[in-house]
Amino acid sequence: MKGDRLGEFEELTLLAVRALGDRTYGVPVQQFVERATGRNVTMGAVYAALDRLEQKEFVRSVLGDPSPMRGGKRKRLFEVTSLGLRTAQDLRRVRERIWQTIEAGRRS
Amino acid sequence: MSRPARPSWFARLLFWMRPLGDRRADIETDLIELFITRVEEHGLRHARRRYLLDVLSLWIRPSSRPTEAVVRAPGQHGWFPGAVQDMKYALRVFRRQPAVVSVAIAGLAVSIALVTIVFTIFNAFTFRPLGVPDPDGVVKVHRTLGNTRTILDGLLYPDYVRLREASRLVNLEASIPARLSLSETAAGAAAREVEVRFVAGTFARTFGARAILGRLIDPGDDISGKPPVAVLHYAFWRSQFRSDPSVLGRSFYFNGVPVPVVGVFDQASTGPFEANFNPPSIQLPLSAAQAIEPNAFDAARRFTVYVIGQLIRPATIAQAEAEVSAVAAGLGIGNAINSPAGGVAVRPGGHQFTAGDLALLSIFMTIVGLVLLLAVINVTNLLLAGSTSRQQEIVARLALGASRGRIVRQLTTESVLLGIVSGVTGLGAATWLLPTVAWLIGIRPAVELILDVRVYAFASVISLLVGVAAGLAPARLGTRGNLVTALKGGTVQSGAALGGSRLRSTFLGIQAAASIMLLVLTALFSRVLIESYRSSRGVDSDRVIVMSAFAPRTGGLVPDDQFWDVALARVRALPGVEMTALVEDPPYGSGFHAVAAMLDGRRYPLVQNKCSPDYFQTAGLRFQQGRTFTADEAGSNARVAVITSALARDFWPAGDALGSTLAPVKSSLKDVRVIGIVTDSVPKIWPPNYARAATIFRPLDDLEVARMIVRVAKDSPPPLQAIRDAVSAVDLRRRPRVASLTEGIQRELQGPRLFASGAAVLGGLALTLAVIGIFGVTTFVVNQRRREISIRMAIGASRSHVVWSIFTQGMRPIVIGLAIGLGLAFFGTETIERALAGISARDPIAVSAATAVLLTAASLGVLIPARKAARVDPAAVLKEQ
Repeated sequence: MKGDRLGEFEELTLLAVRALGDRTYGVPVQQFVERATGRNVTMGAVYAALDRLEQKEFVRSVLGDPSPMRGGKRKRLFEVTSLGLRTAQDLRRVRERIWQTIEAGRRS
Repeated sequence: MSRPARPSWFARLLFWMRPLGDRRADIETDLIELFITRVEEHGLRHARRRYLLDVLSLWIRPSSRPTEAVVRAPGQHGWFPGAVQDMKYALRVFRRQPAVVSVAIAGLAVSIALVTIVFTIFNAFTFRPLGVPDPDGVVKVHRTLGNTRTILDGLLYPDYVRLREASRLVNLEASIPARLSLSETAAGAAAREVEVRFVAGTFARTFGARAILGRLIDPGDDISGKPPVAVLHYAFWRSQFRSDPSVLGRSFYFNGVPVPVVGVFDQASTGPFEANFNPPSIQLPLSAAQAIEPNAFDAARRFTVYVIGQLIRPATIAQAEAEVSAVAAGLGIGNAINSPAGGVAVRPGGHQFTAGDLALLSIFMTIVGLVLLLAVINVTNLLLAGSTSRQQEIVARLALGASRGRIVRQLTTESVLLGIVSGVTGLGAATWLLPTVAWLIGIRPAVELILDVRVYAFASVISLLVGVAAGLAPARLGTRGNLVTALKGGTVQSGAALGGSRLRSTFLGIQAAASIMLLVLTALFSRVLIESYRSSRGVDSDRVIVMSAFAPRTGGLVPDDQFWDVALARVRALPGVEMTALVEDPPYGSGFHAVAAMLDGRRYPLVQNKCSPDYFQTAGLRFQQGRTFTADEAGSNARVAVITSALARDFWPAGDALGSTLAPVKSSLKDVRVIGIVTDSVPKIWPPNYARAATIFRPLDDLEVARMIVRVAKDSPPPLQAIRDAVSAVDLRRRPRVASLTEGIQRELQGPRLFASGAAVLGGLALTLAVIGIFGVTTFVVNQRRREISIRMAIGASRSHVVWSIFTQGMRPIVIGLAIGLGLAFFGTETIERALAGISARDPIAVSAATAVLLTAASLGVLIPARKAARVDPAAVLKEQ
């Protein structure tokens, strides 16, 4: 278990939810990640990642309004929590520091 | 109008079968939405493929989100996940008490290993079919004598050839078993004896043998005058040459004749040879018999061969017998010299499983079952100790709503796991120990002791049974607790537990008795071994050589009396030879003639031997009174005898044996007069009841059965080869065999050695099991008495006092069992005593050694838990209440 940390696929999923402007659902997330990474992504992987993110309280889900497109059923919509956003940003900062170190090393 | 695009029926079925709870609709619409998008973007094929992958991904990645539709308690997702959980839990429990669990596993594993080894050996000798493609079609051809049911093995080679040519229903093959000395150098260095078979050229083909290396013997090899070749059996190649392929093309030397190795049989092709009938290590063509042993086999092949056949299906044994008998009768085969009405019989070739085998098997399995039972009882005790200390935990689970069945299942899983781990360990140990055991008990390398399917099946069943049996009792006890008492922190003093403790003490006593008896036996046999090395056997074994040179069945070239006259003279003339003599049964030889004699109403071990006058001096027996036979007495078969001093002492306590007749010993010898008394000697080490046998020596009258003994000079290398050559030169047809007496003694000691090691293994095992049991029971009892111990210590009992009280109570059943076991060993073992060659079952050294070993081991088993118990903090325990 990765505990409170983000796995690679979880991070991609989290960022996808954020990039899609929150209150999004499984299909757009799957398509976004697939396009962004250029690799095949299954729905099972997306659901699993979303479930884990929800357990870690990095995203939360709400039931959306019934949509005519889906036969009047209510959709489960996801949005990134502030904890999720902070964790993703921390991760990004750590990466950037490391890259800076790498670049600095290359220049000298 | 085209049909709407849909995912494949298979993918839809898979999706429909996947339990998804209340999220099904949500996920389904997601998947359909994706599917439609994909059809538009990439086409139907792509969309269907991706839909299937998505569904599969749902199966592979179970959603971790708890579903809302069905709320299940953990561990109740059907049977399988629960079992996995049980397994994990069991492993965790094992890890928590590694010492106890390892001891339990070790005890069970050793027993399972022992049982497996016994079964493997039995399997190899009884159940394994012959190593040919059609084992049921293998037949043996015998000669029968007249109307009697006497069967003689073997036919004359020319008869065999005629029979083979006339048989249409069976392929008959000839072979000759032989034991040859094999060397890998021309000089004959490092020679060893191997079982070989000389076989007809078509033998391998008839019995469907295959080679793993090189080729097999073919008809082209079996031509007189052709240089011989050798093919090795797989087991021999593996055990003696470590499966080295470079053995191919190497030469072996048999009697100095070089024989190149041209092939190795594959593992399955062990041939039509039974494991208990000297299976060969090497096959050579029949023509090689003449090349290697020219004295025994003449070029015209007038020698006896064993005939084994393979039925040509669909013929049956009865049909084959009818045909072969008719052919034999027509050819006059079987009308041997001594049986005018003889014939030929065809019998099944492989070992037939008989009632005798069944009896043997049941005896084996009873002993083995008892050992296993002991192991199970002990492990049960051990687990009981664990089970009571876990009672609190179990009761807590019960209180939280777990069913008793659930707890029993948990405990059973633990014991099955215990069984499996012990089984695997035991099987590993058996594989590892098997070659050593086989070597110890003298199983020939040609017998393949492999762990086949039968052995694996046997070991698995045994392991599971043992595991479940060992685990169930503690499981039942563990769940029988009273919730309230246990939760309060006390141990449950149920009636069953107390009643069980008496039973356990009894078991412990029985175990102690059994182990002490086995230990005494071990010590006794070890003493026999030591004694037989140390004690003087009355014969100068290191200076005496035995030479036998029987004439072949077709007769020698020279009559027996002439042969021995010349042979004795020639050998005596060799440098280093001091004396020669003839004797019927040389010491430690293959046979002896027992005389049924009684003394004071009990059987008296007595043997009779016949010898030439100079035998006594040659063998190193000294005359205490009287003299040896005169030349006249020796030649005329006179009614005189030389007896050993033990016989003289036992039957003539007054010392007046010399000159008396042997009437007191045996009425049929009443006209035989004692003319001399010699020092005692040990005629035979095994069977041991004849090791101290008194001997009557009579003059040798039948030279046909005579063997030569040769006394060689001290400190000179025994001239074995010179003797062989000298005798061969007298009569080319005779095959002299020369061996020193020391070799005979070594062979004889194999018996006691086997018994000693068997008793040692069993004794050690019984001891280990007893200690495990003692340890388990003491731990159990101490746990039950924690509160009492604490109170005692709280009101002033010292630690050593507590240890001493537990120690004496724990040792009580052991000491009682020990006394009973010793009593049995003392008074019930007259047979053993008689079998032990003068070492009494009351032998103080053996008995005290065994007792000391048992008491030390048992004390450790009691003291360790006792000391642990005395280390408790009384205040803490009492506060728990």
